[in-house]
Formats: sequence, structure tokens, C-alpha cells
Amino acid sequence: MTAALSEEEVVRPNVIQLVGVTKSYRNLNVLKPVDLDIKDGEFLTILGPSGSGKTTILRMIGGFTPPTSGRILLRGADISQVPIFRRPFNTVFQDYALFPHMTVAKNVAYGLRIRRRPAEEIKTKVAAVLETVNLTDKAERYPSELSGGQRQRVALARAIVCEPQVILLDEPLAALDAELRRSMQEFLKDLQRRIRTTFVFITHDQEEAISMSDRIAVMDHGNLIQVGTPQEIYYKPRTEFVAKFFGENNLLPAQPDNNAANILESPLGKHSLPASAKGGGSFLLAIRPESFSIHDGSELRQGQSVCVGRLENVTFLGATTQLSLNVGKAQQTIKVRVPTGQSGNNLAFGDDVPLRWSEADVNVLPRG
Amino acid sequence: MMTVVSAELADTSVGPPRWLASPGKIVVRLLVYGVPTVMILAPLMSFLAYSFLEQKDNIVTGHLTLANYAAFFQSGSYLYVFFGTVKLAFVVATVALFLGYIISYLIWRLEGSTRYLLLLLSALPLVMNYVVKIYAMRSILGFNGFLNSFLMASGIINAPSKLFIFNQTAVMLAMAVIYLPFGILPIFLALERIPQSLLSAAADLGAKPGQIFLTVILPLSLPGSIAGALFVMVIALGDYLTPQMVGGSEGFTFGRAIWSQFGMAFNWPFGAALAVVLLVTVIALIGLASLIARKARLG
Amino acid sequence: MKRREFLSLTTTMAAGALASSAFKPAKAAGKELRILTWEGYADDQWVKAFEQKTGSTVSISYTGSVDEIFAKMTASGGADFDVIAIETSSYKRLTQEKLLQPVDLAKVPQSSNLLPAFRSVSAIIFDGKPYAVPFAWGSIPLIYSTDTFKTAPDSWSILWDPKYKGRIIVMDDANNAIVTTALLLGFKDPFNLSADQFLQVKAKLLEQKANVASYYAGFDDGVSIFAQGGIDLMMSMGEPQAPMLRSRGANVGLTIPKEGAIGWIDCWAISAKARDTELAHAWVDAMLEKAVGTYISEKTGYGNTTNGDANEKIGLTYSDRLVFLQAPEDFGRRIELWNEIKATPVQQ
Repeated sequence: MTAALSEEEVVRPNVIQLVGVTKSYRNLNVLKPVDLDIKDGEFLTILGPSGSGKTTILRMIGGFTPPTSGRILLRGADISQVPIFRRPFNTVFQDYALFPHMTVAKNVAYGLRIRRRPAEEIKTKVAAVLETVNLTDKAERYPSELSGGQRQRVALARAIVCEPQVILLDEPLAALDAELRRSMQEFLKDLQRRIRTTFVFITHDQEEAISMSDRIAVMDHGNLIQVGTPQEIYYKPRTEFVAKFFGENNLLPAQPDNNAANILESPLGKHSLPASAKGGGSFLLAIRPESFSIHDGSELRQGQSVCVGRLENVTFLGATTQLSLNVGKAQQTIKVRVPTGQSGNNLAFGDDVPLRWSEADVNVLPRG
Repeated sequence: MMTVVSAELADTSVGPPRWLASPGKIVVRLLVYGVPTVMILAPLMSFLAYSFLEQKDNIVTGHLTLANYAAFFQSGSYLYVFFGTVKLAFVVATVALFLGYIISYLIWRLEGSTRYLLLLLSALPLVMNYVVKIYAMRSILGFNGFLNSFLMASGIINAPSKLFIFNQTAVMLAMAVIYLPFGILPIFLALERIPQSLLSAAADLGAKPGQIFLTVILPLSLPGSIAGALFVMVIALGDYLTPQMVGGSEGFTFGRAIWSQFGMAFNWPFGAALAVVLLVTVIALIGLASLIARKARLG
Repeated sequence: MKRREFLSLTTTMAAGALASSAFKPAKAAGKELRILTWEGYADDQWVKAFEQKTGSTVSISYTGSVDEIFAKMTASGGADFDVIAIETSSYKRLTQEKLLQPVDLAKVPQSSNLLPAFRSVSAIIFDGKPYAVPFAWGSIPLIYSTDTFKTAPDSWSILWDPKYKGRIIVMDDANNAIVTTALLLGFKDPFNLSADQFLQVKAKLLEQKANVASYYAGFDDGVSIFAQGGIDLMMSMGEPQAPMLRSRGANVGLTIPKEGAIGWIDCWAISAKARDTELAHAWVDAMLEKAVGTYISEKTGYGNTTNGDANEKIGLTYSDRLVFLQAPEDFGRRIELWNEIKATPVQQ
């Protein structure tokens, strides 16, 4: 990882470590060897399209399915063979999995009752947790009498009341409508901050991942591709997949310059080849539309570059305006997003627009 | 029925728009709902009517009377047979529930194709002829039957025993085996309706397999299973052939008593009264079963 | 009436041929005879011969039970059928409901073929007029295991002998059980029992229950239980059970005990609303041909009413020792009694 670890990350110990964990069903490898450290108290999101193996990871941590190979460590101790009911984790299921024959209070009390906690303790804790999720008045209702969002909160309460070391959330918001989803996202994030428990959250929704997570682990086709903060994942993608997965991005072909080693040539011009991107052949450059600005002729700072693009299209997006420009000999189209005020200088189609960017925002990726 | 259904289909595809209540449509509606109602209700109503008719000297006089019911409630032997039959059906249903639950549960716990293969196998007796099944049971339980041969071969007994045939034990054994598939299917369905995620959730919350069974699987599958057992009881209530054929001198049941009024005594009004008594019992049981089933769905 | 099941199963009638004769289109101007009968009683070859001889068309409806005959006859007051075949004990009810007309024996010349025992069967004579003509007969004999009995038991009382407890089966038929018990008790008229006689019969049957392994449900059921072993005696449902048992490896004998045994006779009768009474009489007459009687005995194992030699050949020599079924005083009461017997737990 190129970015320096933040102080917080260094300090936090690992709760869970996956060491070379794989999973295959018969001959199908659904999970290639994965190494992943989950830090105490963080909100980690495992993000990927369906079939990428993210749920498999969650199920292996939870103990629902054993890894084919590799080890799962809990604070350094191997728990790979520990049965599900002895793991100090609790799961919030995609379909909530509330017990239909129990009231909300009974559902929430289930984990404590199974562990034979004293009745008084159960009563107090259940009441406190129901308070936390604002469901005190629904304690005696049955799940079938609740709305989707309420059921979601019961499922959460049922998990947190057991005070697990980690809460595993398997796409818990997928079944909710957009509005409820947003409020639940805030609720979840807020809840996680309050109870300071590690959350491992599964989603296929990039925006959800970015807005909620401390860190994101991106998965694709059984591979763990990149782990990092939302900013790292967004601005410093390490593969074409990650670069394309989040929002709008410009991906441009780049070849090593014939004359100078360590120099790449792209439609934007010349770039220095970073040490991390070794090997010959061709590369891709990824640069976010908002990393560009319109060059006002002022002096370039260190590491800044300029080029000129021909304006092809202008799309008003509200606070920002998106310009489509053709650059380079091959007339490659790039998208540039600038604050709406900046683009208002009587630009006309076909005009040459000078652009400027920082080379630090250019990611050199191996061509997949 | 087929023609009625196709008429309804034709009506929706080429007929006038749905909101136009054409006379033809009303006729079709009447046919669709009316024909089955009439076909089911008419014979039942005729039974009900017959049960209130007076019969004198083998001839139905046409006068209304409650004498047929009075005869039933005053006769010691018919009441005795009635309650004996209800008790027998109850025991059969209980055994079917118990054994059926164990078998269904074991099948349900299997994975992959064995599971459905076994389920199919357990349902296979349903397509077998019922009389053949009774004969098969008798050749197992009978004097020179399989069970006796086995017990003799293994040295447990020296001479064939009549303990397993022509008594109440034989009736219960035979009926439980014959009606077991009727129990297995609804119980399996009740188990199958439990979402897998609930079991995962219970384990996740710390429940061991035994605790999962007691706190989740059993309470969720029991209502459906009991409803299934009640249906077994309903079928068993009407079965007089199995008790007759394996129960020996103790194999007399209420169904046979009803039959004797129609087929032998030609006393249709009394037979109808007995049939109505059985019908009311059956309806009560079905009502109870659907009540339990509905409660299970809501819960 | 369970012997019908046996009859319909064992007679080797070509069902297709029969069906085709049943649906033959009526000849435009020809006469038509409509028969309601049991399978096996209107064989194709006789029907063809009859049709040729009389220039008529015969349509046959087969029945499976006495119930059905009553239902079909009462539905039209007898107008749907010209001739029916039914057993003696049903005639009281059939004549009571005026579904039959008397048979004019002058129009049945072959009635002279009738064996003496079948010339004046009281169960089918009402107001001095014969309402039917006997056609086939059989009995309810005692069947015993020859392994256990070197000589045939001579009395029905063997069914009460505690020595054979649990080794006896009795058919589940109220009237047969009651009549046979009445015969054992020596009652003069087993079809008209006094209240006191009813009580005696009931006590006797209850006493027997302790011995009974099973009240069997039908022809095959009885044979199957007996053949499986552990059974020495059975009150049978008819002669054919003996050869059936032998074919299944059981060594059995058949006897008419000294008290006598129930006999039954299937008779041809003419519907009250027969369309063509001449033709109906012609059919009844044709059924009394000796050849037909011979065929019945050879084919079904039942007795016939016209050829004594054929009866002897199959061992049915005891028609004079039988008490032929009549309509009992009150069928409902007999059923009631039988149901009570079956409902009473055995006193051990």
C-alpha cells in the first residue's frame, strides 16, 4: 500500500485474521486464497458483485461453513474448527431470520436465554437494547406485525444484545426501499459508533460501502482485490475492476515510451512510471473526472500537468458540470467534472479546452 | 369441469373487457363456482335430508323425525363403536404423527438427491392399492407371516404367535403403517417451510443442535404436523376395511356399522343419521386442523 | 351377497363380448329383452341362441350388489328391465314394493326340467303364485381342516368348542350368522324368530365370539386368512371357497352339519312393468334348458336346478338338507343384533 497507514490503524489490534483462507465446492473455487485483517472496532465493508465470494467470507467467519483451507484467527487463536454456537459473533441476516413464533422481546432475548443468563439480566439487557433501536413499544409484537425497517432493527437488537466481539451483517439493507435504506445506513453507522463493536458488513452497493465504512474490502470472482479506506479505494484503485467499480472514472491506455524507460505515454501526455507498476507491456491510467480542472493559465505547481481537449459535450449535473473532451492523437474521450461556476466561460462545442491535473491523482494500473 | 375452465379462459382472451359484466360471464361464473358446489353439496344435503326421514317396515314414509338420531344416542352399542372408532383413529393419528415426525425429520435433514428419493419412496405406498396394502400387512403380521417366521428363525419364539394379528394391536400397527405416508408428507412440508436462515440464526445466537430443535424446529413444525395428523385421523375414521381385515373379532368400526345399514339392513335413514354423525365429527376435525394451520402461518 | 365378488372374478367371461352385446343397437322393428343380472348368468352363447330363436335383441345390464338391483328397479318401478336374476330372500321386499309379476309356468314349459327340490320353494311363492324360477344354488357349509379333523365335524356346535379358541373364522354377515345359530339351537323357523329366540341367539353368538379369530369380510378374505394358517374351522361363504383353499395348499373338507345349513337360490323373475312379457317368459324358459344348468355347474361350481348329474359331479348332492334363505322378520333388527355382537368386547 502506497499511502501511509493512519495512526489509528496502526494502533488498532486485529480481531479477526483470515490467513490463506479458501473455499471450494466440489471442483468450483468460490474463494481464492484470502488474507484479511479485521481491526477491533472498525466498520469493515466487504464489497463485491454477486458471486464474488463476499458472503462466503462472512459465512466462514460466522462458522456456518468451514474453510476448505487456511485459518481463521480470533485475536490470534485459531477458531477454524470452533462450532458456530461457540463463536462470539452474531449475524444480522439478509432476510432478518426473526423467529416468527416469538415476540420481539423473545427474539431479542433468544441468545441470552440459550446461554442461560439470569432472568433479571435478560430483562434489563433486552429492555436496554430495545431502547437503543427504538423498539421499546413493539416488545410484545410478533415479527409478522412489523414493517421491514422495524424487523431490521429487531435483527440488529438480537445480535447486539449478546455483546459479540464482531457483528456480521449480510446485506441487511438489500430488502429495504431507497429512503428507508438511507436512514438505516445512518442508524447503523451511528449505532456502530455508540457500541464500539466491530461490524463486518456485506454489500454490493458501492455508495453504501463508501458512505458507511471505515475500510472497504473489494472482492471480485473469489479474489480479494483491494482493502483500504473509502478514499484509498476511490482515488487509489489498484486494478481496473476497482477503478471501474466506483462511480465515474477515466481509463486511458498507456504505453511505455520507446526512448525513455520509466516514462509512459498516454493520450494526456507523458507520465513517469511509478516503481510499483513494474513490467513491460501496456498499462491503463485511471483518473477521476473531478481530478481535472480547467487550466486558467496560472503557474503550474510541482507535479502538475496540462493538456488540451476538444469539447464534445456538456452535461449539467447541478453543483458540478460534466464536460466530455477528446484528447490525444487518437481523440480519446475523457470526462471532466468541474464546479458549475467554473465551466460557464462561454465554452462552445469544438473549442479547445486547456486542462490541468496533478500527476499524483493518476493511477497507473496493469492492463487486465 | 374442463369445459367450464376453458370457457372462462376463452372469455378472458376474446370476450368483452373485464369490467363489462356480460350475461355470459355471469353464466360462466355460476358454472365455475356452482357446479362443484352442487356436486359436493347435493349428495351431502340428500344424506342430511335422509337422516330426518322416518322408515317403517323397510319403507321410507316421508315423515320427518329425529328418531334416527335418538336411536343412535340411545343405543349402547353404536355409541360404543363410535367412541371406539374415534379413539382408534386418534391413536393411529398419534402414532402416525410420532413416527411420521421422526421419519420426516430424518429425511428433511438429508441433503441432495437422496432426500427427495427417500421422500418419494416414503410416498410410494400412496399409489399402491389400499386392499393390497392390507393384505401385505396381514402377510407380515399373520400366523405364518414374515414377523412370526423371523421371530422363530431368530429363536425368540418356538411356535407362531397370534399376538400380532386379529386384535387391536394389529389394527393399530397396520393402520399406522398404511397411513404413515399421509403423515409424512404434511410433516415434511411443515419442516420444509422453516427457512434455513432461522436455523442458522439460532446457531449463530449460540444454540446447540438440540436447542435449535426444541426452540425453533419443533415449535414451527408442530402445528403443521398436528394438522397433518388430524387429516390422518379423518381418513382413519372412515376406514373400516383395515380393522375388519386385521382386527379379527375386535375389528368392528363405525364405518362398518354405517355400511351395514345401507348394504345389509336397507335402513337408509338410520344409516344416513350415522353418516351425518361421522361427517360432523370429520368437519370438526378438519376445522380444528385448519385453525391450527392458520395459526401456525400467522405466528 | 359376497359370493358375487367371487363369481365376477372367477367366471371367465369375455367382458368385451358381453359389453358389445349390451350396446348392440336395437333392431328397428325387432323385439328387445332387457336383462338385469350378475356377471356369469347371461353367457354370450345362450344370449346369441336366444336372439336367433326369438328374433329379438338382448341388452344386458350387470349389477354388483343387491342394493343396486333394488335401486335400479325402484327408480322406474321396474319399467327399465324385463327380467332380473336375484336371490330368494329378496322376493318379499320386491313383491311388497310391487316390482315383480308372477311367472306363468304355462309359458315356461321347461320348468318340468326343475329338480324336485326346486319345484316349490316357499320363499318365492306369494299368494300361491310363483314369482320366480330357481336357476342356480349353493350353501353356507362348514369348512374344516382335514389336518385337524380326520372325520368331518357333524355339528355346528364345533364352532363353540373352546378347544378351537382363536382357530375359527366366521363370515361378517348378520343374517347368515343368525340363521345358522338358530339352526343349531333347533328353532323351527330361523327366519321368524321370537323375542326370546333373539335373546338366545344373541347369547349364543356372544359366547362364540370368544372363539372367533376374525369375522372375515369377503370370499377372498376368508380364504386368505384360512390359508395363512392357524385356522381349523370356518363358517364359509359358499362351496367355491373349498377348492380355492386347496389350490393354496390348505387341506380342507366341506360338510353340511346335521342341523342343516343355509341354502341360497338365484332365480329368474319378471319385472312388473316388463315390456314384452311373452319374450321375458321365453328367456326364463330358455334358462331352464338342461344344457344351461350343466354349464352353470361346470363353470361356476354352484348347483344348478335342472341337471342332477352335473350337481353330483361337483359334489352338490345335499340340496335337500339345506334351509333356503327367506326374507327374515326384520332385517334391521338382525343387523342391530349382529352389530351389537361385534361391538361387545370379548369376555375373556
